Amino acid sequence: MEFLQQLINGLALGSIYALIALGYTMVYGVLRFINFAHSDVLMLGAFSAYYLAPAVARVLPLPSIGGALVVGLLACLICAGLGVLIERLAYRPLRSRPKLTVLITAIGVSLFIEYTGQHRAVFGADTKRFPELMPGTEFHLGSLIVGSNDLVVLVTTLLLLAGLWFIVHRTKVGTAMRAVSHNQQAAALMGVDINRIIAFTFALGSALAAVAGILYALKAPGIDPLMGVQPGLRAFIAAVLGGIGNLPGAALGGLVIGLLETFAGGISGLSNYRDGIAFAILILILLFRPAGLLGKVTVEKV
Amino acid sequence: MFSRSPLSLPTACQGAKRWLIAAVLCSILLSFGQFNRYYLGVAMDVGINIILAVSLNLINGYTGQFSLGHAGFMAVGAYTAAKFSLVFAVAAPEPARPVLFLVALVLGGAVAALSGLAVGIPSLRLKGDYLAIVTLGFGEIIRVIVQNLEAVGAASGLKGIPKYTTLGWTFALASVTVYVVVSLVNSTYGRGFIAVKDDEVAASSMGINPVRYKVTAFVVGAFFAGIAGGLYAHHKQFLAPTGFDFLKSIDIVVMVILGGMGRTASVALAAVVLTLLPEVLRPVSEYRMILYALLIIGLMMARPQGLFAFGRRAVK
Amino acid sequence: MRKGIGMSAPSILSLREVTIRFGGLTAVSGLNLEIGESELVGLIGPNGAGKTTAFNLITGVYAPTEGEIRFAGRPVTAKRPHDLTKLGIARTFQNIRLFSSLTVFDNVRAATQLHRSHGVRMALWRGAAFAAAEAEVERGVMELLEIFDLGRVRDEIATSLPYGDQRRLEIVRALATQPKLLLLDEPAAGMNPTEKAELMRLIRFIKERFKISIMLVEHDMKVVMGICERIAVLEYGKKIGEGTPGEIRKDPKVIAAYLGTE
Repeated sequence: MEFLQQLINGLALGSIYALIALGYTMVYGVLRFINFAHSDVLMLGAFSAYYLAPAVARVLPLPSIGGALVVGLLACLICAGLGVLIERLAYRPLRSRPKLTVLITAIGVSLFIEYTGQHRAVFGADTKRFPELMPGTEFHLGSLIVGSNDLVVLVTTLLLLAGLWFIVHRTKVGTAMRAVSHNQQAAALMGVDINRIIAFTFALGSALAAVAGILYALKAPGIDPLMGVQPGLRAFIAAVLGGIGNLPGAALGGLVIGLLETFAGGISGLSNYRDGIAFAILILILLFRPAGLLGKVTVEKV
Repeated sequence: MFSRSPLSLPTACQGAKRWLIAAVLCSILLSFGQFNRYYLGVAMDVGINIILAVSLNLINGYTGQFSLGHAGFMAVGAYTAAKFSLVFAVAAPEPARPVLFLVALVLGGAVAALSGLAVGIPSLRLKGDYLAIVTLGFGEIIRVIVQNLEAVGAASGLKGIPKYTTLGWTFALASVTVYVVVSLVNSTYGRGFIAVKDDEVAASSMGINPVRYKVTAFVVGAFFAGIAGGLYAHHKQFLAPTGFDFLKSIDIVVMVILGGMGRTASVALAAVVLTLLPEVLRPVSEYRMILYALLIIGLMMARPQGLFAFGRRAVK
Repeated sequence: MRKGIGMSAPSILSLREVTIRFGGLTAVSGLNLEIGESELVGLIGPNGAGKTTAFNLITGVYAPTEGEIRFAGRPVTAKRPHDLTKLGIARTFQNIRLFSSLTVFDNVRAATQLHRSHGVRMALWRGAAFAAAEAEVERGVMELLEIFDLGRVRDEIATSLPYGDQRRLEIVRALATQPKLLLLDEPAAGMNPTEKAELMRLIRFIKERFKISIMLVEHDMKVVMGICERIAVLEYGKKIGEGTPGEIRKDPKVIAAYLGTE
């Protein structure tokens, strides 16, 4: 029972990591750099919901499933817009520059969002209580307790993964995304509008991050401008673990990290080392599979 | 730096050592001066950051790897040196203390170098982003371990470290760091670091063992980060695990990039500027970090080769 | 009886039944090849015949799936590139790979270090021995640069040189490792007829002056036929012919490979 309980907790946590990791890996797929600001988009998603909830509550009942959906959708839109804006302002001017330049810029953007968010005129540095978006209950199955939040997390993630799979594999824009990630120049020559596809990728990844941010906030005691850092880091590890640039890899990596973290946290003596465990696993795996679990090792042509 | 005029190599060799001796002597003289406490503190911060940036530059700048774990090496050195001092130096008679301090610093550097070796090994197989995340992970693992180690104060930090760090120690060791990195790189042996950065395949075809160079860069870089950590510990007299997080590593990376990767003098200058900047911005402290972030972004847009990168050696 | 091939001259490099597979693809299959001391051998074949792969096997970039490679009498199969360079195999690259942030002088200098015993310690101590060693390196490098008329650009960034000079510099850099065998990967690629003629002169000159074996992979028949003493022909990873330029020109299998047969 204890095992099942941990399994459910781990899966819920892992699902959130998976959603964030997908954003990292999608951007890496098209632009080949790690978007450090992604974890802050997650935070912005949670804060969007925080400020939207009272407004939505005036029209729709909150907590309720319908109200939560509206809040979630609006937060997704806001974050998608912000994601596109970040790409347009900070990354696009550097498209032809060395990847290191873009990486450092991404770190700069991340710091900018975090510090601006901490300013008292913006969000403030203090922790805020996240509003209840959905009626919370607990289901008891024998000694097993399943929180409705965990169920929401699992179901939402499954739906989003299916949706993402559909977009990437069954739509024109998804095909273009894959083409761009495969070979940007060739895609451009085939008439793919690279800028549009990259913007779309950012929008999609940021919307997923917004959902992840809200789901994470539902489970966390509160939200603050630095709340994205830890889950962002884990998701980042998950993306690399799965093989960066690889979508199923990111989802798998997220689940692996979430589960391992939960199970390790349950072992007394190890729980204090939670923050380091994900990294330790990553390093171990990279020693044996240098391109991650599902990534392919590319050999330089001589 | 050494000139490139014909048949200049041998003379450059002897000159460098003289400069080092002069710099160390000057630093020691500085120790006897009387300074305002605030300026003294800032000056030591500057010196420590020069050591950190110049040593990271060997790894990231000259050898072309991307390490995000320099704060981890610094932490290893800081805690090792501080613990050594707390156990041995505090009880020792006064005259023995400078010697013991040197032992503490070198010990901290040595343990950090060992951890550099441990991180350098994965660099045998990993490149680019993968190496970056492994080094980042290493830094975080160090922090988590320290956070749980009762012997070094765990999460509440290590208190009561004796104040041994002086301006003299700081700048003498900063001079040594600069000397070591410059001497290493400016030798036939040292051209191998840059060769590995430029083209690993071609380098290995020229008989240069890329793995050895990369690991050497990590070990030497980590050693000096450890020294810097020791100086930091005996300067602040208090160590908290959170002081060595990922952001600290980023700070050092920014110094290296701001200076212009692979240029020791410029990187040292960047370390000075970036250490002084927050002090200058103190009147607008509310916006200080926001400005810092904007500076990074603006710099990457306007001068990605580094603010102080002059001359023709362009960074790819 | 033709010259070379471990008969009149002892062979410096020998490949025995060397095979490499990438997944399901056999890029080189059962290759036997001998190169004699101070012999000039050409390796030709249509595109995708496995010439560059054979090169990468000899220089240790790839390890063979099967077979044995011997160099100067000892087995070197699956040794790493830098170890092979120490033993005396040097190479150039199809698409020039100079060290782009180093000067002409430093490109060559970086390649001289493998025959020297000093490393970190001497570089740090900077004593008289170090000064002497560095002076010797400088003399050696400058001598090489002067031979190939590159002394005048010693302080230029290597990649800022004109194309022909870059090709030459890459050869000089390889020679600085003091090789017994020099491998040239398509040295004439991207050259005009004048430059090609000059390249042929240069290769002959290197062979005579440095008394080393040279093997080249080349597309340009005129260059290969013009300078090689012996030519091996690859097709689909297999050797389909070997002999003097005269013999190769007449070999029906080779003609078929190049012109296609019905």
